[in-house]
Amino acid sequence: MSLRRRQFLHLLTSLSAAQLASLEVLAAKEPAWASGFAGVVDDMAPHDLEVYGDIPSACHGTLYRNGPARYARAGRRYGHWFDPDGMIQSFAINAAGISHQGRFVRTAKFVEEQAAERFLYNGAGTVFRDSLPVRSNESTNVANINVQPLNGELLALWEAGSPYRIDPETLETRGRLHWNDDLDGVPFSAHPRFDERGHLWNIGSVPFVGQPSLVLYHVSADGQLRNWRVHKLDFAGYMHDFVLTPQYLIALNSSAVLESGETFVDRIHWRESQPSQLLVFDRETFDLLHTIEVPATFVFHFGNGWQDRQMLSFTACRYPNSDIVTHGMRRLAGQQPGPYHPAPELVRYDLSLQQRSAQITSLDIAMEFPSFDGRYPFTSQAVIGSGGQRNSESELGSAVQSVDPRTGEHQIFDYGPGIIVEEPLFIPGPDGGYVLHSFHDYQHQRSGLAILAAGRLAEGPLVKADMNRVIPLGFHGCFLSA
Amino acid sequence: MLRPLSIFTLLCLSIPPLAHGHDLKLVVRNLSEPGGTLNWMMFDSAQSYDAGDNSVASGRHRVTGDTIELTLHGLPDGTYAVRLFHDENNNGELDTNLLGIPREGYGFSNNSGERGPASFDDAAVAVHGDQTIEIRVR
Repeated sequence: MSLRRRQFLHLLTSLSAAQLASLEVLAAKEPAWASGFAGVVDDMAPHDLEVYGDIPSACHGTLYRNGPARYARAGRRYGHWFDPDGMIQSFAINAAGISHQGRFVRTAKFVEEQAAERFLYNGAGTVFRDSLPVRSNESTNVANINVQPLNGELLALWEAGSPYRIDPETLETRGRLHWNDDLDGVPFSAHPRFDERGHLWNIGSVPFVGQPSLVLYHVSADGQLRNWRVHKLDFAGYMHDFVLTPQYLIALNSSAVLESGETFVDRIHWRESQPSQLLVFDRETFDLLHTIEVPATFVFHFGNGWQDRQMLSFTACRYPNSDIVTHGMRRLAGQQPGPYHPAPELVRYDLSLQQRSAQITSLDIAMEFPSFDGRYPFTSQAVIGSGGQRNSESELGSAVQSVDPRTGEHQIFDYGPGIIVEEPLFIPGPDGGYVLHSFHDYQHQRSGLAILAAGRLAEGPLVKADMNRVIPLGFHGCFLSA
Repeated sequence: MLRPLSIFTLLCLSIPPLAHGHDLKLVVRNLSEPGGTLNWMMFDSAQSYDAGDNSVASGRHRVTGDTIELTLHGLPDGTYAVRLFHDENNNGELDTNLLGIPREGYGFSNNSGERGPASFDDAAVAVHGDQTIEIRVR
């Protein structure tokens, strides 16, 4: 029984019948999916899953995921999904079975607040009275968005500061990544992209300090910083992800503009009259080549990008406004039912660099957490993602799906109400490979993994594994083969 | 014999001796790992605070623990603001990244300046008797 539930029941004993009646309505409104946002207070010890089906050998390896996990301390609770401290979860998959564990990233903030046994700082979307002033953005780095490999270790990624280095075996934190003194604590987005050589490319959005700017990064596969550059921006649009092609790096300066406000999230204002900008940079020189205006747009995540002569194409999960971040993610973390924000829509962008124009084609499919076959980052290919957001109880997807952005060919398997599908990832293997995703079964308070045949998604899982443990719902991760 | 002037000698030189001056205790907490130098300056006007010179008092102290305490004697009535930084690598500067964001600890009286530097008004403390200013290095 959760603390909230206990406190609630205790409250009931001292209330009148009329008060009880109104409270029952309130209690009934706490949605069943809320358990995915209850969070945990301790590291999660290794725990075996019950496995149904034969695990393909191609899927032997480890799924790593990152996400917000510590929601409350000393009676105070965060109110936005961006806020809680990051936990790296791993699912170790081998012939003998699947084992899950989780370990909080030991950020400076986590260590300090763990010792103080209370929250000391405001969150990205939550204000606490008597919070301490911050030295810098690093004071509130919770390293909670993504986990990706680099040079034999893992990076626990935030977006408004430096990544933390993680031991892939023990999940222990090895400290904050230090590129050089100039870049110490400079924003590094949670969505680095890898080219065919394993080189890492990234952006870092700096909306607050002086004129808004964007930092571009190129890191070789051995973890050496090759190149970086700072570009001034026309306005401070929220930027979360970007697109990489063989020659270009494309970022979206969105119309969710960082202006005034008490918290980071409070500062985000949707500006319908501010066209968004697609910024096309040369990948080798980091020169800004083109700025292409598109109608006011909000995007968290892009699929992969591909080039056909002077035509650049990529997919995006597009929102008509920024309600998802200013309202939807508050509602989820606050474990509140609707109203819902608009669902993300999968669209394809085709940019003509000669005409400096963008054609945007809707694929008429709700999708989030897009991913693709990382072996071919610059080839037009199916986008894999979660789906079913339009009919979801939580507004998180209950389905796994793939879409060919050129033909519109679509496959979907919807688990239906009761299941929340987390970011699905492609795993190379025979017969077109596999799709692996974690899930939360909130009707049974169990969580686990599913493996589907990538080419036959609609047929449903080949393997399903779950455990009597609720995982804190997370954002992004990676799969590393055994 | 000429000897280097101590901090306390400097203080005595920079503060007019008053029969009824006040004792101001400065407590600096939350210094990170021992080492480096705490640099502090105290100003009595926005003009000198903004210019960073003509401080009423200032000092440099070797950091050996997480707290440093010192007492300024004979301070006249007035409004004062203290700012400080922890020069962890003893290079004489507050190191910053390319955005100008500090990479070493710093602080202001009233623990002001929630995001970035505090103004004189935000950091100002009115002194009319013996008192203590506590600054938490962030």
